[in-house]
Amino acid sequence: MKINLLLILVLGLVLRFGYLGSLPPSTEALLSGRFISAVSGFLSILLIYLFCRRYFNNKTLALFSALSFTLLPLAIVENRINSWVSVLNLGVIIFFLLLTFKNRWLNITGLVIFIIVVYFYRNNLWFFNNTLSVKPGNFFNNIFNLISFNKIFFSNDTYWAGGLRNYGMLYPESIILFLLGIYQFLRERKKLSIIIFSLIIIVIASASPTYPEAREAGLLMFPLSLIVGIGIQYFCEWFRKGKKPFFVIILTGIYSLILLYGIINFFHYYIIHYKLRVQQENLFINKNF
Amino acid sequence: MQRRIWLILILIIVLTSLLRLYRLNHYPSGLYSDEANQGYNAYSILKTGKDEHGIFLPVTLRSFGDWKPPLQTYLMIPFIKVFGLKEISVRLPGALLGIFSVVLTYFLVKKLTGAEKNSGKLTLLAAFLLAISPWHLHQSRSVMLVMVALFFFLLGFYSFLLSNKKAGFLYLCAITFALSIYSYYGMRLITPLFLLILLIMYYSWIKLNSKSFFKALLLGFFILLPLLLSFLKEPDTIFGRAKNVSVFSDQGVSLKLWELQSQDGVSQVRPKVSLFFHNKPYGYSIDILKRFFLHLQADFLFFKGDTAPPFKIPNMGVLYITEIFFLPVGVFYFLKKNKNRFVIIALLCLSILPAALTFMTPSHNRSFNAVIPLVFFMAYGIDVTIAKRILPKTILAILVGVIYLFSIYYYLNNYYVVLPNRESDQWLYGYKELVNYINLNDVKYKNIIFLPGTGMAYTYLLFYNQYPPDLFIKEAVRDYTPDRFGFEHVKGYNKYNFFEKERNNDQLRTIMGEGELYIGRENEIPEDLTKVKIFYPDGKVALRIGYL
Repeated sequence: MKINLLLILVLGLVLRFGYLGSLPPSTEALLSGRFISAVSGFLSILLIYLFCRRYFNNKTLALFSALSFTLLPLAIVENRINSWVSVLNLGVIIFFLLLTFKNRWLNITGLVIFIIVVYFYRNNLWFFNNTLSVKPGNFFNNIFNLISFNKIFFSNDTYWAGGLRNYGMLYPESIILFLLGIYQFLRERKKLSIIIFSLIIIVIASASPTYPEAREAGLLMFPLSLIVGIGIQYFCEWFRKGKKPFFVIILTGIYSLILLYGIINFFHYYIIHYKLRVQQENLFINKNF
Repeated sequence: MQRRIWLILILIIVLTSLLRLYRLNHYPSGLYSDEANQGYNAYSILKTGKDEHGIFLPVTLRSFGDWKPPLQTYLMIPFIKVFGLKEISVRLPGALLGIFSVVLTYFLVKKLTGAEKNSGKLTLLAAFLLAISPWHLHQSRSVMLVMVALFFFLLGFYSFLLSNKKAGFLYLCAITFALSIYSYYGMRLITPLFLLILLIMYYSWIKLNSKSFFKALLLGFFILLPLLLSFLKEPDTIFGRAKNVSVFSDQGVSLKLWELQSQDGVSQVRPKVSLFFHNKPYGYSIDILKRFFLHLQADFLFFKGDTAPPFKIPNMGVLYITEIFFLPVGVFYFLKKNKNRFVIIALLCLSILPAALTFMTPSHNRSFNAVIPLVFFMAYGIDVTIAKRILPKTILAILVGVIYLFSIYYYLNNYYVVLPNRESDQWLYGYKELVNYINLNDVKYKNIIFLPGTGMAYTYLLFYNQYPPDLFIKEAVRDYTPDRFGFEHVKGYNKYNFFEKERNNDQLRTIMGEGELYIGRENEIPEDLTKVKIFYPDGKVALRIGYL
């Protein structure tokens, strides 16, 4: 188990820090901001593991969730640019992790850390700087747009610099795992706090006057990685239970290869096409990039 | 208890009939070109045994070059014999099968839910929800093939489930599944795949009745033999229009791949590596997957529906917005408890598959079979919600009832007021009035010319005039060259000519002669040459009639 975690952390290290200054293209001034994002992203992997260990009391699930976050397209995009979302995400995970302890002082510490991080980045959060101005019709439209299959798996209709247009928050190949994960997730009521957190983020992002450019939606990477992790675990448990017909084994093998192909394809797109777009559009001139 | 259930079912059937038969000839306003064409082809087969192209008892209707599956057309024949060639005769078969499909759904849900204690309520709820479903209503009241397909498919499915107790039902299953394949293109994909799933799911008892099963399969094969033989003669009879609307005929994916491969070239990625990442199988797979899930998004289901005419229901999706809560609840609890969950999920996925393979998505028509599993889930959701007793049962039931009452009112207002008054262009309103005008005045003109914007106007002339089919088969001038959408046009017959080439106002002024009547859309005939206008109910110009 420890070796598995170590491998995931090494993978996380490579994916967050590898060619950080040039992928996507950058200027020297941006490096310090990017470094903080990358550190936040890397630490998030470890903390998600620890959180799942305690919250679900399941080491395998913890590994799958950590792996899921390590490879999550949305997380990779956010963790490799100067992104306040990465740091705020870390604050959220710390808060949830410390909540799992029965010690009240640890709970309070988690809350304080979260509040400090939110306060530090308050200029980036719309509700600190704007009044609620979205019309009810648009608000509901935004909610359903944000939780649509299109947005989660297939495309990104935002124009902010870090977004990959041809990818959603998750890999399209992971749809089955996501649906399995959602189903299992909703079955167990003790996961209510995560569900409530997700709903709050969805509401905040949907109410943003700048939607679909609402970066707050990036905070969904934490619950999304949990859901996919749960989906992977459920899938593995089902596969191990009882003897499976030969064609089921073949289909599972094919699906695994397709998933792997999708992940590799994403990285090709990130390294080649996204980099080209950033260079051609001079996106790294943006100080928040 | 049983008597009460039957009484409620009868009331549901009465409501179903009312909603589907009320002024069927007037709503939707205007007969769509496909409706008029199928009606005329039915009339032609009734009179001569041949369709408009002169093909004897066709197993596929060539129609506009889209090779329509023929079953709905053949079902119109007895109604045309009784009522004449009118809107009601054309729409009645679909409406009746829509009513029968509601009854069938009741029995199907009862069979699927087995001995569950709530099966009485659940089955009635499912039947009721289908009876009032905007999606189902819209298709029941039009002639778009899918209602007929759904009925025969459901009957085939139900017969299959009944064959567990009596193997003889396998023959009915074979017949109805085969007939569903004669009903609609999408069924040529859905029915065989669904049959395969049923075979896998119920392999154990099929094995026990293997002789009957193979005999039934043979029977189905013989019923499909004419279709298979026609494929040898004319490949388009199997897939027809499908090839014009499929994702593989759309350039979007190919252009995207070309763009990505070019960028790889700029970045000096090896061609073989580039092909590994950017290839048609993967590109099309993702595209199809994306289109598939468009049909499960809130936009299509609850807010906008299909925006392409004539499938648009103004201001709403294909389901009531009030069902936005019950649907996910129903899915969740159904997956938790029901042993037949795999079959229903498979049915939902297969229903959407034909639509996902086209580039015109989301599609109200091509994913229509999905209404059954969705209604099933919603019924489950309502049943569970009431059973959970968040509020007292009676209050909750009344609340749900009131919500649905408002939803139905909202839909009926959109369908009977908004759609005919403000969006009658969707249903090609105006041709009946045009044909009446032409009939009153055609002696004055030696040539009547229809400009390209009038589309398939010839089919309305034939329909409303009940033009002798044997005469039309001889007179029709066609070259069978498809346009860019894959449709074949009639160039002319009798004194009617149908221009395919667009002409601007100056060109029109040059060619217009004495004794000629021109018919076109708003932008095709200038104001100074327009002598008569036919208006939509909202006051906009539908058709212009011009002469010197």
